[in-house]
Amino acid sequence: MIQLRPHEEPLLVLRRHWLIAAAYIALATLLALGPVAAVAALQQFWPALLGGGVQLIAFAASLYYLALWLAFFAVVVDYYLDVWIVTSERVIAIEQKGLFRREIAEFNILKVQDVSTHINGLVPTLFDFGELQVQTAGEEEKFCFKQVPNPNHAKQQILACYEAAVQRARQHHDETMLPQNVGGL
Amino acid sequence: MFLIAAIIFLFILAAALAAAAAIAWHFLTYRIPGDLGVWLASLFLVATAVLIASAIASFMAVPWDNLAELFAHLTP
Repeated sequence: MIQLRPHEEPLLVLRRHWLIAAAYIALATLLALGPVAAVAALQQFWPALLGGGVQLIAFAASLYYLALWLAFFAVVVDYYLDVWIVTSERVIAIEQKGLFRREIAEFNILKVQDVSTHINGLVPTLFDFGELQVQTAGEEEKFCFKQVPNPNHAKQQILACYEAAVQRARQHHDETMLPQNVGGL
Repeated sequence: MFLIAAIIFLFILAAALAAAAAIAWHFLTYRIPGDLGVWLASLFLVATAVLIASAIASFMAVPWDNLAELFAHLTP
């Protein structure tokens, strides 16, 4: 659960490109056709088994579909919970690794030193997704988010958030440095 | 034969239920405002319940005590 600070606004939420989820769905659909293909093959080469062992085949198929469904959703959780949230004050990088490992890192938006993007390969170029790297001045220097859709646009938005945060910080600094009235003079 | 099959099936079912609970917990806990986490969690829970019910029903339909005879009949 992400807890935002009182005056913090979420400005950008980044997830991996939809093509990654579509690839998982396509693979799961293909694997779901496995029992159908197996029954078709049995009908062709061993029809006696279908007649006598249909209950066993149905049981095996139900276990297979249950395992496939759970494995598919474990992958969906991994995809769904990999997210970068850019707010007015910080960037929160959440990476889910499997079901029982979750890494959350955040850095102040003012610590951003460099933002770069890398798009490698035919499919990423066609569908415009790639790696977004942010160099910071913190303990962990580099943050990477892979398979980001439209990474150049994301880079521009992060830099715009940084500029806005710098402006706010300067304004706040100027206001606090104003001379105070002393004794009505 | 039925007893052995039931014990093995219960182990498999327990593992499946644990995995389903972990996945459902993730969907229901890590909700980011504005997303479809609740929809996905509902779909997942309903479909998992249906698949577990069908696995149990199909397990009960298998003639476990007559299985050896069934395979003896089927082999040439």
